Amino acid sequence: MSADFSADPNRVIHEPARLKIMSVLSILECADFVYLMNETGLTRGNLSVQLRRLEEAGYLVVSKEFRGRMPRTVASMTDAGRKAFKEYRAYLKTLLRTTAKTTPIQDALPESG
Amino acid sequence: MNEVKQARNRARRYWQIDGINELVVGAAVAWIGTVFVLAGYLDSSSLRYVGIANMFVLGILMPRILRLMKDRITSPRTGHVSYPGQKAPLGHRVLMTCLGIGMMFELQYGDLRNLTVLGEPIEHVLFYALFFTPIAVACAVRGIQWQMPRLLFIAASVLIAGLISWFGQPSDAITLALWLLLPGATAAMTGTWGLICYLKENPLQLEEGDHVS
Repeated sequence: MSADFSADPNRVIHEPARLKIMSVLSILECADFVYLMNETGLTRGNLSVQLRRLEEAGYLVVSKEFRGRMPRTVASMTDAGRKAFKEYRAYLKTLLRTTAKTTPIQDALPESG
Repeated sequence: MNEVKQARNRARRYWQIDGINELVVGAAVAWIGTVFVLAGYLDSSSLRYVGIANMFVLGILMPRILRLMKDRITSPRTGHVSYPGQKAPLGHRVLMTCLGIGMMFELQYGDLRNLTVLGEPIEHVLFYALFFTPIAVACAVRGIQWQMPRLLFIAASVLIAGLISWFGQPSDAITLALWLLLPGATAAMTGTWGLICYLKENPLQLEEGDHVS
């Protein structure tokens, strides 16, 4: 299958911070704010904004609950999110496979020394 | 190991890194062991019933205690995560429980008890094969997989308990002490050590806009 170079990647997922969040959540059932912060290395503010953006796109469900007096924000991926992430991965795979055939990574690397 | 497995292992590690599981389970096992050992030394049947009752009560309470401690200690520090396959399906748990109970009854009352393997009664061999070996192997494998050397201590203590009671054939009270007290106390100690290190290394992390009152 050849890549359609005119097609755009899913812009919601393509942003690096959101891609990290989606990648982490794609292999988990759910994770809370602190776990995601540690795993992705994002700041509180950035993570908060990106979670909201992904929630608005319908890719995540974000719920706030209280454990004792401590609030906990838990995020999990929706079916739509999993489908979108799968399509995004397929898009990238096709693109990279096509370019790898014409431009092997070794050739693209600058010569050392 | 691929990246997905590594990420899942990190998630699994999050559940063990704080040492709470080892501490709570180890303390409970050591406590039950102490009651049974006392019952053996004092030859008290009522203490044995207390031990059995303790097993049931702790079996019910332990998950709640663990959840409470995780919520209070782990979640605000390294977060909460659940991964696919974290909980064994109910059917599997029921099947394993039924198999365990069935085997106990069979060994106690059935024809199997007359069989011997290498000169040892079958229940003896089965007990060691089905109890000590899987626990020790599971602890050792997880210790290596999750890079948590303290789990190797628990694996070693379980193996040592099994080997001493197999070859030494001590009295019932000492055997129970070995089976329950040694691994239980080891797990409680490694868990306490793990928890101390965890608390030192992981300060409280609050979510945006949270306040500690």
